[in-house]
Amino acid sequence: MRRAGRMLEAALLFLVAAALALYAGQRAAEDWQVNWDGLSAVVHAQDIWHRAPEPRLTQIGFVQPPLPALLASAVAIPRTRPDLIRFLPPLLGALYLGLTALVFFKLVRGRGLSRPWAYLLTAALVLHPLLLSQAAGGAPAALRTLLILGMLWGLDEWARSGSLRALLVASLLLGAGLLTRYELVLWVGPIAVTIAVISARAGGYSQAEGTVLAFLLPLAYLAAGWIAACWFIQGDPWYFWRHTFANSPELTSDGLARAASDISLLACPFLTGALWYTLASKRRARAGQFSIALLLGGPVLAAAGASVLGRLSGGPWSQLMAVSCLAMAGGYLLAARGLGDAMRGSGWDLHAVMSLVLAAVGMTAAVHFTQLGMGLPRGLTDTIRGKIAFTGDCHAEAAAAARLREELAPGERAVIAGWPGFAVAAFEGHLNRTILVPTPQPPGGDIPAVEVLLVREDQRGSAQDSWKQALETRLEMLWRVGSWTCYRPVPTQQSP
Amino acid sequence: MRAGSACLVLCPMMSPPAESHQPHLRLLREHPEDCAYGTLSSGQVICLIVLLVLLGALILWQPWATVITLNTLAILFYLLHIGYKFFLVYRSLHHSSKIKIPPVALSTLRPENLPTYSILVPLYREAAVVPSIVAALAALEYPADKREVWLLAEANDHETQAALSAQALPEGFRVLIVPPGTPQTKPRACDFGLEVATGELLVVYDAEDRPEPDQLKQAAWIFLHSPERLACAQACLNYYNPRQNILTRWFTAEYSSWFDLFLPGLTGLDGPVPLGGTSNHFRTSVLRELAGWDPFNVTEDCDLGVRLHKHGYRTVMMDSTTWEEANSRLLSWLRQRSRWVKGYLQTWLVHTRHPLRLLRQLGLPGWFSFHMTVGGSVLCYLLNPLYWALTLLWLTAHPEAVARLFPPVVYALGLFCLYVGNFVFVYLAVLGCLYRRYYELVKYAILTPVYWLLMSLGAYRGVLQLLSRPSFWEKTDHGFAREEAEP
Repeated sequence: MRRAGRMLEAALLFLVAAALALYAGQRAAEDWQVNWDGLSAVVHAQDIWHRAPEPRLTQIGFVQPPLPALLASAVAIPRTRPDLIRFLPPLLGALYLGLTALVFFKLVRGRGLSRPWAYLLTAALVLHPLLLSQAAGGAPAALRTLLILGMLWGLDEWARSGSLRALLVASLLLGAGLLTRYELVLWVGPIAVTIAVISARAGGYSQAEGTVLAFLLPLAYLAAGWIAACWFIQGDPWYFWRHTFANSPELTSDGLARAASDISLLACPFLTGALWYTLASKRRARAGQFSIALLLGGPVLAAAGASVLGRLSGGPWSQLMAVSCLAMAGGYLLAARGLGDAMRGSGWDLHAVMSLVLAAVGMTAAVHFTQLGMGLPRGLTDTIRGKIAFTGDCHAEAAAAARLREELAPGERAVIAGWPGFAVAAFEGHLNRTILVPTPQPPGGDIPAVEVLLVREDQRGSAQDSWKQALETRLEMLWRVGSWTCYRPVPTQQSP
Repeated sequence: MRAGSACLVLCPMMSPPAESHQPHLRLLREHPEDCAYGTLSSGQVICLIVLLVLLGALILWQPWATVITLNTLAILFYLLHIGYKFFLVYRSLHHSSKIKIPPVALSTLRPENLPTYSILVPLYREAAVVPSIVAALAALEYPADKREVWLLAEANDHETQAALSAQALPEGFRVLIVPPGTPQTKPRACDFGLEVATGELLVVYDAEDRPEPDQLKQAAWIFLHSPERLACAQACLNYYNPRQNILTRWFTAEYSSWFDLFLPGLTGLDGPVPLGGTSNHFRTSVLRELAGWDPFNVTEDCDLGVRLHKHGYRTVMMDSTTWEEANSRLLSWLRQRSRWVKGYLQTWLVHTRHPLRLLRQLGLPGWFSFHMTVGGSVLCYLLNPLYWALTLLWLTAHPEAVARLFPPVVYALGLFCLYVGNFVFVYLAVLGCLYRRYYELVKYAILTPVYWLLMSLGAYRGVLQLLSRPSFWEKTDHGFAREEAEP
């Protein structure tokens, strides 16, 4: 096919995948269903451009990983009507899914698959309710899947051909992935070890040392840059880390057991598949084993890392976000490899196929049994119709924003305490006069002077009492919408 | 003016040296606008004066606006330079344009069909390495009746002449005593060598070189299978003593990145190639057409690469290596670096005497490449210390003046250059090591910013020398290498 034809094919592929995500996303947004992470990125981006008196570049996700907000800043340049903000994340998701389809198609073709097979596999990836849901909601997970797909390709390509460019791409994409979810740092270790092992087999210790350093250097530089940015701008090099985990629950022994069981169940299928693959195919090319080792090492180390940290950011739900991206990208690449081998006439790779089947079946079983209550994907038809997973109903936030708009007189300011208060602030449309506190409790240090307090009551602790104490005042309840309760602080009369 | 010595300014009324009939002055005689006999043309001098006056006036009238504008221009230059170098190397990683000839193809070359070869080896104060260069050249796989080796000794270098007399020379090796004269430079000796060379192809090797045995055959194969406009095949240069000390490690990382990644990227884009000092294989007829090397230019190799491109000829990189001795002594390294920077500046100034003509001759991409590679590299060396000092000053004292130099957009761009640019250049050194399989050098490549400091020192020394002694050739001493096994 000529260059122009290939360009047209790529453009069409991108457009079809993007349109699909956009359609599902718009249907969901019409029903006031939003992916909170996606919306959060857009609100952060709006903060960058529109928070008066000056653009707040420093707002770029010092708590939330910054990359989704940075990319969302493109759609946040024009000022959007508050009631339309929820339609913006699907735009980004559409972009991510379109690119994922393009990249995957290219990779699959590179594996020697014929065009019909490549279309079929790409369609299977794009139409997977998990990925489609993430993209339709504009979730950073869709971006993460794209980055991980590229990273896995880079590593596989490096292991196959020794391409330094592929190694550099893998490192940069993992670095970018880190800036979408900090927990991905737990994957760096197993990948580095795998690279070391492969390199050492090829050329001894010095080759392992040089290659691992070359892989880690971009990552380390990226991380160091982020830490330096936190230090110079926020005054605390570990600001992002502290605040990411500040609101996550202390890991009790019960919580640890639960998390370990959830993560193990999620990791188990990959472990089984990897064992099958590795044990049954000693003479296989190292690249395949490498992919599997990656899938195996990641979740296990993630669990171990979480235990060491003593905290989980957001519990198993968030772990699934990282694991699912890896599973989607890795699983489909493995399928492409197996099919590619078959198409080239080297026969079906039974081990790869069985590993994939085991992983897929195991993953489904694990999700079913753990019943994580995450609104996991429904069927494809429902997903396309906008019944997408990983979303929450934002009617309450919209209603609270509308009441807040009525309540605030010109010049007055409100504290919105509790998650997802950013949605209320965004829907209210005046980011300049709201102060967000991620938990219902008052922050330490200086308590902001405030005319109105909007608290989410169903989150931890007695928010009302904490705020009364902090403000040294009594709170007069104005109204309640869903879980959100609005108060006006009234100073207590001092006795003469 | 003493015949043959160079000067900073070339004035139209200046008469050519008395000995202008000599072979090394052909370029000055036939293409004076391409010769570094006078570094600056009268037009350049006028432009420079006008620019300086204008700059002075602007500084007096609007000091801050002028300095901020200069700062912005410098940062925009950095951005272009970073992007350009990264693009070339990244492209090279994907698809190297180095020409690799498989041994099977070489074995099909019949001796009677091979072109005749002339090998020039300029020697000056190289008595100690005469046996090794003779051995290395004797080991080259090429029919003895098809190649001649010219060992070029300077008339006043009696020590090397004695060593050559004492050495039993193999068949086809000849000694040419280069007549006394100025400037006493390597290109001058090569010009005398070109005069007596009879080969259809010609290559220059340095005294300490050890080319791979099949290099001549590879080059011959390339020329036999390429169109006439291919005038030069440059072999990769690398070092046989990379692990001797930290300086040789850094130097090796730099050379690996330059010859294995950057130059192949440049030839892939069809840009003018600043040739390496040795192991450049030419069609002799083209060299004669271009009047040989410029004896007044202290990086005659770089200059010749640009002139080839200007005349419509092309250069390729070949996948064969010549092993050299990395300079392991700091002062000697600084002298060598000063000469390179001085020569690059000479080359840049010579070829920008007629900027529009140069643009027409090189084409826009080639013109851009020339400025980025030849002028840009030197400018980087010179600007770096300034920006390091500014960064240090800002981090330690937060002076208001520094903040004022960087309005928000310039600040953002500057920060980008600082963060991304430094990484890109360090990583290029790392990639060079990996490409050459010098895995154990990777950790030293990470420390290359220290090496950049030395480069800047050398650059400032080179600039000062350009003003005082433009064509003075600072000899690089050899023979200090500790032998190591090749990788």
